[in-house]
Amino acid sequence: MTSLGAGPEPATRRGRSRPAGWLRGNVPGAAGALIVAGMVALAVVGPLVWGEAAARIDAAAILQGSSSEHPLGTDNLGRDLLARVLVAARYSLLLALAATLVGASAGVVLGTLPSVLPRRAARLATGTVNALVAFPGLLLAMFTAVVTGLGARGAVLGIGVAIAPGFARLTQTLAATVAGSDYVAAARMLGVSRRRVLTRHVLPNIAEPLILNLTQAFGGALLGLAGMSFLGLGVQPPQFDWGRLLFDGFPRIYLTPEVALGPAAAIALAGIGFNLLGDALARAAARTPAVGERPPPPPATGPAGEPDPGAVLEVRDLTVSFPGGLTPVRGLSLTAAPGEIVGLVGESGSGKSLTAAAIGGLVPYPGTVAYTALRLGGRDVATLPDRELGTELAMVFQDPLAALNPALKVGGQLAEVAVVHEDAGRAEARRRAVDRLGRVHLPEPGEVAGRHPHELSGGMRQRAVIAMGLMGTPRLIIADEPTTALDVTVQRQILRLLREVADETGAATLFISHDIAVVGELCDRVVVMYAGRVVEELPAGRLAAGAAHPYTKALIASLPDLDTDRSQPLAGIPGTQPAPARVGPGCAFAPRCALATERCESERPELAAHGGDGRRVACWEVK
Amino acid sequence: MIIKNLSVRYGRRTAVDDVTLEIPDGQVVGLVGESGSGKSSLARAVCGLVPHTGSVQGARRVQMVFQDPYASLDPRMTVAQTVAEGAGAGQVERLLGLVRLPAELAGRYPRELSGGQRQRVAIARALGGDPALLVADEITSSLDVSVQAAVLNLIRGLREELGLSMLFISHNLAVVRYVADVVAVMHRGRLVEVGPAEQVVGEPAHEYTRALLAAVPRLRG
Amino acid sequence: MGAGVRRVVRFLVSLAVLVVASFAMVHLIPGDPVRSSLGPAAPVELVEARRAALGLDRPLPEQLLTYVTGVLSGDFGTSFLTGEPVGEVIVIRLPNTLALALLATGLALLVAVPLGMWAAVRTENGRNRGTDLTFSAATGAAVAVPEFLYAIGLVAVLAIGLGWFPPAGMAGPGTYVLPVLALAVGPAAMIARVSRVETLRELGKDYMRLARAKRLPAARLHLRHLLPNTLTATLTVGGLLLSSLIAGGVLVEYVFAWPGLGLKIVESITQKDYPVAQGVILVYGAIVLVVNLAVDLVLGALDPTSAIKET
Repeated sequence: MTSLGAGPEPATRRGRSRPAGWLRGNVPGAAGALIVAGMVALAVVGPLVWGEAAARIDAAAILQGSSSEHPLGTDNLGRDLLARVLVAARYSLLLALAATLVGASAGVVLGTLPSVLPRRAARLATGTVNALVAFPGLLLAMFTAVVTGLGARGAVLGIGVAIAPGFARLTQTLAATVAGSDYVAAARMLGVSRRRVLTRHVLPNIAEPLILNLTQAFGGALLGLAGMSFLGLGVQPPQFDWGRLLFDGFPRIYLTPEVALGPAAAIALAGIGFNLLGDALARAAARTPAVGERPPPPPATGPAGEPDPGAVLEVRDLTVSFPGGLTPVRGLSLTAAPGEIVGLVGESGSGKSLTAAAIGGLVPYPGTVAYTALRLGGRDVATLPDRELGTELAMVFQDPLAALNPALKVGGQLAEVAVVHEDAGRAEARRRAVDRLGRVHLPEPGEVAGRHPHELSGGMRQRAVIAMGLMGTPRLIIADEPTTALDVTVQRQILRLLREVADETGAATLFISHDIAVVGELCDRVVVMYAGRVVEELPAGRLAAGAAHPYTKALIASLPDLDTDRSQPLAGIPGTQPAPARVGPGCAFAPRCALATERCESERPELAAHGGDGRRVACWEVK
Repeated sequence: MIIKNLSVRYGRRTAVDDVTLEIPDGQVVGLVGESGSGKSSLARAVCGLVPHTGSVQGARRVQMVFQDPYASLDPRMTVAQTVAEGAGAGQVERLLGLVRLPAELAGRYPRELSGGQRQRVAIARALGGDPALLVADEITSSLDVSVQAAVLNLIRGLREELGLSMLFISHNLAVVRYVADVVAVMHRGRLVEVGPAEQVVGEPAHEYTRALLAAVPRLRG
Repeated sequence: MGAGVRRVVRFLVSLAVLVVASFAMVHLIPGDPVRSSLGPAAPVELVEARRAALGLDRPLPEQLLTYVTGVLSGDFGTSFLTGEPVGEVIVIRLPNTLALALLATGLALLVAVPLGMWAAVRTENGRNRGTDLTFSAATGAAVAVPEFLYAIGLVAVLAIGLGWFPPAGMAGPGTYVLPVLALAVGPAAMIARVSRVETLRELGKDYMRLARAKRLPAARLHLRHLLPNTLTATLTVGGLLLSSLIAGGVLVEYVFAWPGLGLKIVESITQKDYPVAQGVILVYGAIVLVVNLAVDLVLGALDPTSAIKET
């Protein structure tokens, strides 16, 4: 089970970014693309335009420095170095291309072997790749150069050999991920042949990252070849690439440094160009969502009014919005009294988790939070010092393993609250941590305090997180799907503990859940959310019989319990909850509602009192 | 179809310990258990996806529907291509009809579908293999309740329409009770109780079943 | 068998393969390595004598046995050119190479880890996109420029242009500055990127949300909660970089005429002094294996959850 809280609607969540937009706003990526394009153009036209100048021997002008005639000087035969640098682009790029192709094809073959070979041979292939990957490329290249002898051929092979293991590893990892996927398992059960699985599922899904990797591999090959030639191990005269020009120019650096400048700049520029382009491509493929620059206009904030004396938590007109007109929480109001457990229930995309985050001050950038009142104990949360918030507000999250720091011992994570906010000594803080671990019924709390989170079971971890909230003097506990990741038997124990804590400490609890049965069982009052708004509020005891809003009713009806009539179909709700950006002017539930009228489509019903005992509902069809 | 003395071991850990379970023709057997009980390993073993000892008899043509609808469809294949994998292109429309999906969705990619729609596509793909047994492993646990209801209705409808035998696995006892004829309770790799759904829920024989039942949350009133 | 023991066994197997590979290297050379080393003009008697001295006329298995026992007792053969024992060359030059690599790795880690963390905290959830792009572009460019260009640039500007540091050779602390800098820039950029990615990943986790909910001061949040969790991955990369720095030092040693193994291997390959090339490559390979083993063992000891991860 997952708690999805607020966010883009599921159908588009894993959508791919449009290929056209991958460079938008990415200046370095665009610069990389420009450099690469320039390099390729130079490789095509360079030898045609400057070929003759690069080869022209001038005995009168040997070993010159920079002059107006030869901006980068001349070599030992009087040939113009600028022309030679420009001409060398083609050979440098071609060699790099050859090395990349050699390395990539060898790597892909080596990386595919484990999925084709029998078990033992496959393990050997994997082991070989793992061992080779650890070796620096230059070492492998030099090994190859020893065997093949000096020259361009040896250098290309060497750099190819150096690139291959990385490609093999990448292919292997990608192929293993795809081969282990559920859709390949399904295909195998349907009797799809191994070869067809490879061509239909594996190759299409690993091709894109592999091709992307080629850009960076090409840059690496270019630099590797330049290095080999610079050491004198690569290209030999009369041929020349940038590395060889640098090899020739380097000894002259003391007298005429400019002769080394041309080839060095060319190598650096090419390296940077391919790397930036590769980065940009990888970024686009990783689909990091681009965040709009402009913060949204803050929603209007009205007068706060007088604090409600009976409420620990008082929220009025809470709105959370994101750039691009997304408003996952709209005008939400709720209160919680001391010792009261208020359930906030809704399906994924209802905005319930963002509401919790907003009250806890944890809405992620670039979200903005606005309200007319957000008070804890009658005081505006924004004005409360960290000292008080850190001790009076406790939070519990869905996955207790993720919520505890894996690197720190449980006791220390509890104790720091007292150390930081209450100036407690180490011994005192630790004593209190052990006491609180005992209060949440962890057996041998002293020993638990000395353990790391991964040494505890799921239920114990969640108890430890709750104990952390008890370190101070909690007035509000925000529990966001605290039992969703737990087994039902453990869930029962945690629910009991939350009730006990509420009774003993008098803290108000805001309990967020997608499970209306759990909410109904634990809570005193229930607030039902749909598409960012509260649609109904009622005492938990009235859920089964007294729910008024069509959505609440449908939600209850669609949940099978141990008494559901098995001969009847479950109610269900047609359609899906609208995404935050797609809510129209009317009631957000109208498109899925059996009772909807024209008025529901065009005009939004306000939350209004309905019957007695604090029931409120937002629906035109409820009188 | 019968699962006989089936065990699954991962290294030194025994995930499934000597399980014997009969799945009567045309019936839905619900398998319920908590995390780590071995229910998913049992499902994968029945489908031949993990090495195991013991036998699965009469299990020709087993197909499976997986838990995560986001990972179980090839992102680069359209709905039609996915569904046609076992059945051939001619069957796509019929299969989509069976799972109550409009034929217009045939050209869409998984990323354009909602979670519930994806799960229907996965069911259609499995049906395309003309299964004698359909294994459904937590197929509604990542769906919202309102969507889950529709998928459960679909599962019951398919049983009626096609006379499909099914192994329906879930951690949620109420869900299992609703769809299954026979309920099997798994705990630490072993089957602790098997019986008709109403009997297991109404008069649980094993202590663990009782604990499980007592923990199911329900609305008051 | 414990994870550590398994790791050591794997190391020993790799080492054995490496020894055989370095042996095979000379035999893979097409034609006769001695003839190719001495040149076509060398008299046949000299070639034959040299072959006999190297044992190349014996059967292959016997040669391998001699080679392995030699390596185990520290005898790596003698140089074709100078007649020096290769083992001695290695013992004299290895410390100079290691000093450069260790100093550069240390410098890179020291600068890059905090830099990466800072960038991550500043650009979390896509805020400060300008910083994000600048950081990516700067580190991307720094990674893409090879170490020998840094070396040449530093020599041209700081040594020849400004005369602040000696341009080449190893004599006193001042001579270390430029080679270490040249070696450290690229890896520093690389580590900064890894450190940023790791930090961003950890920042998004629930334990950081909970730590924020506890309203901990920023220093405690970042140093006590964040750093230990980002360090493992960063140190792994640091360890891998150390081994690549030892080999990458070849080019820098060449530029600075640094009396290390790197300079020696370039000379030996260009001059076809195969015993030296063979010995130095073997030592380089062995160092890589040792460093990787050490990184794995240290990480295993540091990470409290490693016992679970290792299956």
